[in-house]
Amino acid sequence: MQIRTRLTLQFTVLVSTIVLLSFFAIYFFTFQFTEQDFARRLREKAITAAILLIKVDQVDTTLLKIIDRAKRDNLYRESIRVFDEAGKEIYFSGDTVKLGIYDSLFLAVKSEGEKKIVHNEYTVTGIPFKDNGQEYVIIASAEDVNGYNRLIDLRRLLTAHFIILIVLVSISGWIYAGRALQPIKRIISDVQNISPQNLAQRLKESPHPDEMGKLINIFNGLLARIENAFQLQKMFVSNVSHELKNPLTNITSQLEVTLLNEREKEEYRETIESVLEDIRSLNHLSNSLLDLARLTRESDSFTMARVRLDEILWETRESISTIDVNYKVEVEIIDMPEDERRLYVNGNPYLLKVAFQNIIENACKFSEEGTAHIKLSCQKNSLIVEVANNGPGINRKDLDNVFQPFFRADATSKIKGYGVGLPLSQRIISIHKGQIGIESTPETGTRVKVTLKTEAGF
Amino acid sequence: MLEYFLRNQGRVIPRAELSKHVWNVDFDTGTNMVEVYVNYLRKKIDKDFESKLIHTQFGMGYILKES
Repeated sequence: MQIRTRLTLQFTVLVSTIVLLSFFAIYFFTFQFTEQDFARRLREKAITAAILLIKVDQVDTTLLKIIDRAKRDNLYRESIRVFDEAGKEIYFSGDTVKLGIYDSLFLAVKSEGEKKIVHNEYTVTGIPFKDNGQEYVIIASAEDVNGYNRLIDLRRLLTAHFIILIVLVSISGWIYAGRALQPIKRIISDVQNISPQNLAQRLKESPHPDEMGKLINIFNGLLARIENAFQLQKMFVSNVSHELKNPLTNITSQLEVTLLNEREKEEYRETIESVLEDIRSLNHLSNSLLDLARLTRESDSFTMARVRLDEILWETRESISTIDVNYKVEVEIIDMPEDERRLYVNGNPYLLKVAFQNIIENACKFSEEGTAHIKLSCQKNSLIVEVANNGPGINRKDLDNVFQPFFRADATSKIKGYGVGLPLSQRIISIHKGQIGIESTPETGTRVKVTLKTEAGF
Repeated sequence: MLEYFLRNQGRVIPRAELSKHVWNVDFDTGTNMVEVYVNYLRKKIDKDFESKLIHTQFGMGYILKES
């Protein structure tokens, strides 16, 4: 069932229950009042008749009958009977129909006092009356046609009211529910229109900061992330193919040119060396890409061990110096702890080396003299590695993107690279539950700061 | 570091020489790096033994010898 139908139904049932209850109350109280009012009138009439007949000497049965008949406010099928002590009827006026209950009512009134009963459509009241030591019983009966008709009218009125009300409530409920759900309908149709081809489309912002507005904002945030991921992937694929193609073209053309003519031994050697360099760089790229993909896919399947961070840095320094003879790495260790155990982190040595190698290699690559400064400082529960260089720096706009795969700032176009190093490092550091941050001052240099938690307990 | 000490037994090795040969650092780091690493090594080879092997020559450097 649709929400709209359900809401309408619930609303209608609720309102009709309330209305039905109040209508029943109205009817019940009216019914009671009508009955009591009629009984009161009947009683007053009976007493009036008794007083006139018994207490007023001038009035006898004949005169009373005349008075009775002359009265204009007689009740429908009214009859008043007066019985003496022995149960003999001494006066009768009104309707001649005899009800078969006089004897039993007479006895009941004599022993128990005033009584009111309903016999078929008649309301019958019996009243004991005393005068000069004589006891009488007056029995008056009549039919409350007026009250009965009024109650039927009321019943019809309430029923009609109820039906009209339910119809109105259902219609207005349907309209209201529809209006309340309008934004959702809009969101549904808007979202249905969004496909991978038009991810840039957003839902129309709601002017109200209500639940719908929040929902729309959440949807838009989600769409932004999806679009971002899509774009990144597109960029990734096109970058990878581009980066793989360049060295391959390079290799092919070098080999082709060399093969054109007979060459000197030395020339072959040069070509092979040059090709080897390209292949190495290709190899490096594909390794980095594999690492990146693996880290993104299965981030928790790496074996962790106790790793001494200063050793990692020394080893990284060694391998950096083999990449390029001009690269210099200065290591500075601040506040070296007395306790060696405070230099241990929980991590994967291969990955940590890759992470620091990328950061340090970048620092060397983008510095004027190929020098990077590493500062390792020991904090209470963490180790901080800062890698700084004296390079041209990175401008603020590019700084936000350096951790995006394949992002390369325009200024770096002359320097070899693929834009996978820092993203890979960031991924590795985050797997080790550490933090990585970068700050840069143009013309002065760039500083990458990595914070890793030391092994638990130290 | 232990290897370098062993290769140069009985000779006083200045701090700068240690950092040059062990870590290939040929500049003054301005820190107590060498001291701390020597200390780590001492904990491993001297701490639990009667006869100490690594000795500090004040103002000059370190020497590995049986005393």
